[in-house]
Amino acid sequence: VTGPDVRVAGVGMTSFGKLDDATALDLSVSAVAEAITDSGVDPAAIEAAFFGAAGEFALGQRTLVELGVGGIPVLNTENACATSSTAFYLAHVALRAGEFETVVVGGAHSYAALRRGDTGPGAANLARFDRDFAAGLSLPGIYALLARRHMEDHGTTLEQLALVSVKNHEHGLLNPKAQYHLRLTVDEVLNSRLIADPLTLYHCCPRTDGAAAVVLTTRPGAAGPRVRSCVLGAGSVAGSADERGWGVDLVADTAGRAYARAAVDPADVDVFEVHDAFTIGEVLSYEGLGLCPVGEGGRLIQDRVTWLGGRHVVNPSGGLIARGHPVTATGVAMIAEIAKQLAGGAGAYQVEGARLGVAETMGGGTAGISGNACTVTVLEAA
Amino acid sequence: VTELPLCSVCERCHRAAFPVKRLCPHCGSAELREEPLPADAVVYSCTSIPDGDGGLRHLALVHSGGVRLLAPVPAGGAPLHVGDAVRLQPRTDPPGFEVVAAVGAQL
Repeated sequence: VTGPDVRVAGVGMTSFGKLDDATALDLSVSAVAEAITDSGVDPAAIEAAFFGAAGEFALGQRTLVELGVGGIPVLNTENACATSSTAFYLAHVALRAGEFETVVVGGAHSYAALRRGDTGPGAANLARFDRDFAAGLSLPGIYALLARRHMEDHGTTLEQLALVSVKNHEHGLLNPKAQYHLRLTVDEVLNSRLIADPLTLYHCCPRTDGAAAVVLTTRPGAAGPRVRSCVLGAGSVAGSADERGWGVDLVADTAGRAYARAAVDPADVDVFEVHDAFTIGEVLSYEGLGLCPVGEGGRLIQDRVTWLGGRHVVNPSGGLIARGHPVTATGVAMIAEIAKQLAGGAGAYQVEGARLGVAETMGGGTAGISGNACTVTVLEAA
Repeated sequence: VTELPLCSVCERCHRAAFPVKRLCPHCGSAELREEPLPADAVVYSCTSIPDGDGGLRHLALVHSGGVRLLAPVPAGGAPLHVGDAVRLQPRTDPPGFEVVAAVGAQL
């Protein structure tokens, strides 16, 4: 798609955590209101809304009604963990095509009902329809399979994987909206409770309530980071040789197309938010995003290249592991974090001089599919 | 359950897919035949997940006849390792299949 430049005019994000007093709608309204205010856009100028709304009925419409914005088309999407980044992708396509000039993109997720014992729709019920989950697999189990194979193939160590958690928790200490503010050691990560061998508790992201939103515009003269490209990639049954082991292939393919459309080299990217649902996910993302050759992701974290102060900072917000992972909101939250970095507004976790940033969201896996979805978005400072 | 589940084998490109498909995911052909998964397999990766009763449930991702699929190790079985030669076998309760270590050399 060619067309006018798309800019992130404003961002909004709630605190992330266990927020029992708020519904997904409450969180969504809060994030969208903040994004609109941050953008300075007249709400009446918003022409469409794109929402990540897995498990929620008409979340986008209900959010806009609460805000007093009506009479505009609304699209609610579901695409596993890449739900709201898929909404962003669709919004970007529509803007580039000239269908709209200013839109809002949001996503919100609440586990409060699940904590009260109502399993509801979504991942909690995967065993009802996924043969692998029925056989005893879990989401951490998928990543555990990836970790075991990566360790076998490339000599990646558990200590290197643990460093991802140590780093992201260290970054999370600087983010007031992060779910966890913990300082961890490698030993504490390795000795935490077993979740899916070889992954222990601190290798894993938490269940998180939260919401995020951005206002996008192609209005001439608008300020804000520019979206250089946004690509949606997806695994399919055709990749069944890669089933339950998407590794770097899906990320590499999606990122390759995003870099090509943006005409950027990953070596020039200053800051990344990547899908660290589990520590091995971040290491695989390093390799898929071209930060290092395949098999050397463990070395990259060990050499502190991806820590704040390093050449390619990854997950300065704390990532999914420390900032938290509100599944339906995660994709747009990652893009919002990059936009904040490129606008110089990330506060204590600001990557100094960041000019080019990338958000990568991975949409889980389902039996027979080599990764449900992957989005890669390249943004550039104004 | 006395047989392993069926997979599809493409008459045109001769590649397999699991579970049974209507179209070949590799070449798009509709000319597919169905046959039971081969019993011989090799472990691609593996994990063990707490079962909630103080034990572990062992799972293996295996290559079998050109497809990759997940299979549980029978209750009480030992964990498997990457590269292990294994055999798929039918399971009756609950219905499905499981994976056990093969006797003999690695595949």
